[in-house]
Amino acid sequence: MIKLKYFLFAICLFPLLIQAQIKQDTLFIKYDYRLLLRNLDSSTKNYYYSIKNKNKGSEFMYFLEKKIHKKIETKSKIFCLKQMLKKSKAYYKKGHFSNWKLFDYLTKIYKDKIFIVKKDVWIEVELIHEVNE
Amino acid sequence: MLGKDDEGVVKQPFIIKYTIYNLKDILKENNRRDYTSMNAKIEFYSYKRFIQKAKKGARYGGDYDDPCDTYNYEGSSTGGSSSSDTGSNFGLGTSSGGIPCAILVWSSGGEVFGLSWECGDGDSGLLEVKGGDDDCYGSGGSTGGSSGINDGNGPIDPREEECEPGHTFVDGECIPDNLEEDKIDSSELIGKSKCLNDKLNENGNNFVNDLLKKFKGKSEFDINIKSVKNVYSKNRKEYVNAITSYKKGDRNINIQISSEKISNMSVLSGIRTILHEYIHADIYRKLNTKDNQDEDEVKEFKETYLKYKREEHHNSMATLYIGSMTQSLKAIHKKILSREYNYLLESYGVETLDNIYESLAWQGLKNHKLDAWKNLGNDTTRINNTLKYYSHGLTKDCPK
Repeated sequence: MIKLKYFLFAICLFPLLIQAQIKQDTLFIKYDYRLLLRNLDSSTKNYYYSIKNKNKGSEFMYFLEKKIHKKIETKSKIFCLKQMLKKSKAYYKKGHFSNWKLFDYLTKIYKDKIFIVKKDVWIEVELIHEVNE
Repeated sequence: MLGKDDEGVVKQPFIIKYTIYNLKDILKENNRRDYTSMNAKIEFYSYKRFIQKAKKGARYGGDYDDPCDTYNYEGSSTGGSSSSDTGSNFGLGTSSGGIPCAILVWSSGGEVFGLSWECGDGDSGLLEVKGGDDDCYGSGGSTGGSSGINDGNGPIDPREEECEPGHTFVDGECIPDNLEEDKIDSSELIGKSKCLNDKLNENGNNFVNDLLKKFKGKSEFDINIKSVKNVYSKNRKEYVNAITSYKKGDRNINIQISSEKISNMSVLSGIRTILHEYIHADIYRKLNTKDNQDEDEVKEFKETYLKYKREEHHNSMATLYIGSMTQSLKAIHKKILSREYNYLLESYGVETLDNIYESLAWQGLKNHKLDAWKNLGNDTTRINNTLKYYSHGLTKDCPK
């Protein structure tokens, strides 16, 4: 009976433990050439990364390039962007995803920094959501 | 400048502004000025307010119009030892309350290091201009009266001494010294956008005031609103009226208003654009708040927001804010363009006028293929027609 109690307690606690592990300080995302595009903002002269999306509405989510680092040693997991898009449940139609849903999903899984990992180059970025009239 | 009063009590740093009317007359042979002979207005300013305004880009002089205290000083070369390098000089003046005062200005090498005064109401004191850590919000330097030269706000509040180190007593509470002012920063708005934003802030109805209040005072989020000549949408690849953006984890919500686009808009349409962006800021606040996430208003908003698969911001705005936007436009039109309002009311009647406000509120929403727009059915024709017939004739120049 005692063993069963512990088992139930562990089961109940498991999602919380998983949640605690997921919310990490730094998020690493693998550079996916099929999904990511590097663009230049001609007014600010900053580079940003957008994700291919057929939804050309008023909302937009992008990664603003802050700094390019040489390879950083880390034991953290490097996430696959395609998988994250799926997990975020942002797709509402083939090739169309909700910018907010992806933004919201990403903000919930890291606390501080975000890097796009491209072979030996690690690109530090900031996550931005914008909406135009 | 730092100061101590005659009892050695430290005073807050403050800014002294001298407006000297006889600058040429007080220039001595050795090229030093004898300030004890000056005829001047001496104004004391809070250094905090000075720094806050300086951050916002105000010019010292014309834009600083709120001194803690003002004294008029009329120096005379006959009294004291103004010809020597160190000494005092006697002058007659008035306090900020207009009470006549005898003022002694103490100087050394042409530099003022102290002021002492005795006024008709019994107020007297001495201010030594060196060493201290105080400001005009705080304790005064008076000895004989209730208000000294730097005592704009009465006696010392005993709660001031309860402030922890690194905190300053301001307006009844201890504020951390490193706390940035919570605000809506509109210092980079220019021209018509600035004028319209000012009108909205000054004449907004309860809805507008409540909305903006969320970002003022001790708010979780600030707004930075600024003018940009052309605002480019990265997603739509075209120039747009405005963009509101939010960076994960940031305190600031940023609004860019296109000065090019707004210059061609009517006053009402321009105000509607700015209000529309403030609502986007409010939506970002509701979605990202940690402090207020359990409030019913926030929970209910999120419930609506999450119903939509796309265009969440605009669909929610159309569902929850259209009525308030319509009423806000009507209220502000009455206030700032009353002649135009009365003319339209007499010419077309109240129903058409209300249609105009509702149609303007839909501007900026109706072109995003929103579910809420589609749900209007035949009303979309009425709204489009109203905009087509009436919006072009509206006043374009921002009223003075």
